[in-house]
Amino acid sequence: MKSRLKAVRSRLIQLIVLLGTISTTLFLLLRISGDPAVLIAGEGASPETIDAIRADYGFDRSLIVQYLIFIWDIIRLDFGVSLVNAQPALGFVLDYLPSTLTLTFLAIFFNTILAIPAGVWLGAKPGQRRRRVLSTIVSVAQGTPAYVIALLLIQIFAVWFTVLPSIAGTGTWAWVLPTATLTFALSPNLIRVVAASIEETTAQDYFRTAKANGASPSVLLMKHSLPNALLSTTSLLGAQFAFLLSGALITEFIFAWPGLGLILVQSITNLDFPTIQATVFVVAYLVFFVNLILDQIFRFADPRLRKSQV
Amino acid sequence: MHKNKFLSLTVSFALAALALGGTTPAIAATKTVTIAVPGLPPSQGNPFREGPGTPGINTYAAIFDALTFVDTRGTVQPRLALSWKNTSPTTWEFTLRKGVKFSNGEPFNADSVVANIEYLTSADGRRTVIGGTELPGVASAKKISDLVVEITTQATATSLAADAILPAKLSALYIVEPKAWKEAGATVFAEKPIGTGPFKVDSLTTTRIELSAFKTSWRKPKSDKLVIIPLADAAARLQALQSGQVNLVTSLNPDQISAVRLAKGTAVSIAAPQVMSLAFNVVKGGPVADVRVRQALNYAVNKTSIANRLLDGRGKAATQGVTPTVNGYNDKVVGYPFNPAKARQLLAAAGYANGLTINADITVGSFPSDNLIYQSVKSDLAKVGVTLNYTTITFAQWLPQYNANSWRGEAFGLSWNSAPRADASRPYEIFVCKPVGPFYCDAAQSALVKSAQTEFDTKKRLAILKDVAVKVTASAPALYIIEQIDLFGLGKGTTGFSVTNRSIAYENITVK
Repeated sequence: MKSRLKAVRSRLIQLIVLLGTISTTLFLLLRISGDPAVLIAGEGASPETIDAIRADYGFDRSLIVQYLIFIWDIIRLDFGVSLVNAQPALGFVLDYLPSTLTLTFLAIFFNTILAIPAGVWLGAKPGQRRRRVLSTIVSVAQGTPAYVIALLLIQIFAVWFTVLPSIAGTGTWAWVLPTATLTFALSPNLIRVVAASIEETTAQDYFRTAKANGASPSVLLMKHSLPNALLSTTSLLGAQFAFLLSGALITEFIFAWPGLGLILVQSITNLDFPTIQATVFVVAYLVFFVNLILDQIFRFADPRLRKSQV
Repeated sequence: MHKNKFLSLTVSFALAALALGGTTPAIAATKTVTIAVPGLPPSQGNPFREGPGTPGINTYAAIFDALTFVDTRGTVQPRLALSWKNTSPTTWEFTLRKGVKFSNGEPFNADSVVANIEYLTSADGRRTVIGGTELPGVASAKKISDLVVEITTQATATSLAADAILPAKLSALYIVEPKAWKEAGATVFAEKPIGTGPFKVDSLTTTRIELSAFKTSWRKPKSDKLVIIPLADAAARLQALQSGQVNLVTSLNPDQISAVRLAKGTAVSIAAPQVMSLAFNVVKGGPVADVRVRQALNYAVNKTSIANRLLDGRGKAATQGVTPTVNGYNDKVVGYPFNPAKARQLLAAAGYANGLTINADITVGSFPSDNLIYQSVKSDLAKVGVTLNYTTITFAQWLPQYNANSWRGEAFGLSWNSAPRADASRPYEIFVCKPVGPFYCDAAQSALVKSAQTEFDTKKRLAILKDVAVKVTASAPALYIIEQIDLFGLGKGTTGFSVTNRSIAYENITVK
């Protein structure tokens, strides 16, 4: 119990340090990236107008004062209002979070159920001709950008066969192409990692011993290969999850998907500091949370980790 | 056995997909017009915070009206105001259209105009693009009667108090419903804007605007619904049109025209009142401070070839800072026809016989093929010994440098925009002796531009602007490249589409 509490406290400290570091870095990077007051004022605005806008938003204060106010606001989870649409930035970002989260979960789900069987099949007997063909296809797919996959899928299913919509907000079917795009973009990596892990385990002594002792192929797979492969697989899935949370930018752009990625790009284009800060903060928090869950999965999957923490 | 299962699965999937075909397309038999645009206005439904061009204009033209409207030939047409006259050099009287209502049922009248101008001239209003940049000369408004309003003008840093073309300038001011504006505040109003235009907003988000017909609008729409979707990627916009999910796309690329035709659609190109240029930082000094260098660079580029190759022959070589449909265009000015020999000669005379290097910052994505056009310019300049090193930057990086003239190099991408007033005074007022951070200044030319503003005799005024065109073009403050175009793609069955001065006539669009 004591060790649990210690672990929780350690995680909380990590979270605070992470959010503090990210917020500070972001604050400084944004301040050197440009002057939002100039953008708000527009082309040919007078210096008086720009100064007045700076004063409105507090950009006329010294950097250190701005920073202290920024940190105090963040502690209170007050990110201010968007410089572009004047809505509370955090609320605006949170409005778009469910859409990104759902797409992320769907993509990870389909990625997993596609990649793990394919990876196992590939890794079990890598020398086979059929598997070499699939391996080549996976390699090519791995080098194909999500942008190309998205346009190809739209061309086939929306333009040629007109069976699926390619624009978000047109009903349940509008989820299919973005999900498929992300699944096909992510799965080649996962297939290769699973295949490599499976292949590696088949060369291990314990695997050969089990095989010599007459263990059936399903036992070999389920008991000896897959559990070992799951460690690296989970690790990659976690990274992919974090990547998707920060917004699958291209996918969101192509499908006009109302997600965090789209908001982030738009807010960066408009130097909308509060929205950028709120988006990055939310993503950082979620990524931390995902990593926390991954740690628990690792502990569950790997007895060595459990033992080391006892 | 496994093969059979796989086959049956495949067939099942195909059948399911075909069955879905009848239900998924977004466009059903209803009169819903769906439009894909590169982006929605960042300020949502607040028309004061957006400049008078894209992306705002693609949305606001459906929701709002201005007092006036400038047509393709640069003539000021009635809109919410039916007529106008100047009662003194600084006072204009506008007679308003009778019986107009806002989409929330409130009447449009002189009080509405006064309230809008009061906001525009307030401290907050002056911090908006429309109040601060487009209409800084508007001083106040007074109600004369329910349908007559008086607007007065004032001197600004770039202009004198009298304004001969105030009616044209007011085409940039979209009238919002003042009661809703006041009650909701700018932020909430921006989420559900209310105007007198043909459509009213049902929902407005970052990724979609849904509007329904405002059936009692004075511009009664022919469609029941309008949906505006941002699709930043040009290929995705084309695919949305090809698949029939949208009826109209804006900002089509010239190389997509054949694909639109193959899909039985129509590509429509409209001359934009904008000249794409590479402006020179003359004030900074260096080689471009010499007019011979600036002229040489103009002669070195084959603009006609660019227009033919990269704009499918739909654009034209620019001869000056304004386009033929704009008031003040001078058709006697031939500009700088392609003449590399003359370019070399001028460069040699200026002391650059061995060539020179020009550094520039540009933005791309505003107009069809702009990226390719800059590449072509670079290639042509190289042939006369000029190395053009350009860096592509974002608008957020471009704007502060433009405002303060803090460019790192000798040139920068600049669009000479005459919209929405379609009058040469706009680019000349803004670009010749910009009050803060000028990149080019000629006191005599600036005085001439100001005198045009106070000249109420139309013929005399146009003569002054044509003279300005001669003088400014001779000074070559920019490498005028091409007269830009706006390219639209219409899906099969889309009718009633027209664009005037970059503004889509939403009331006439419908689908079969």
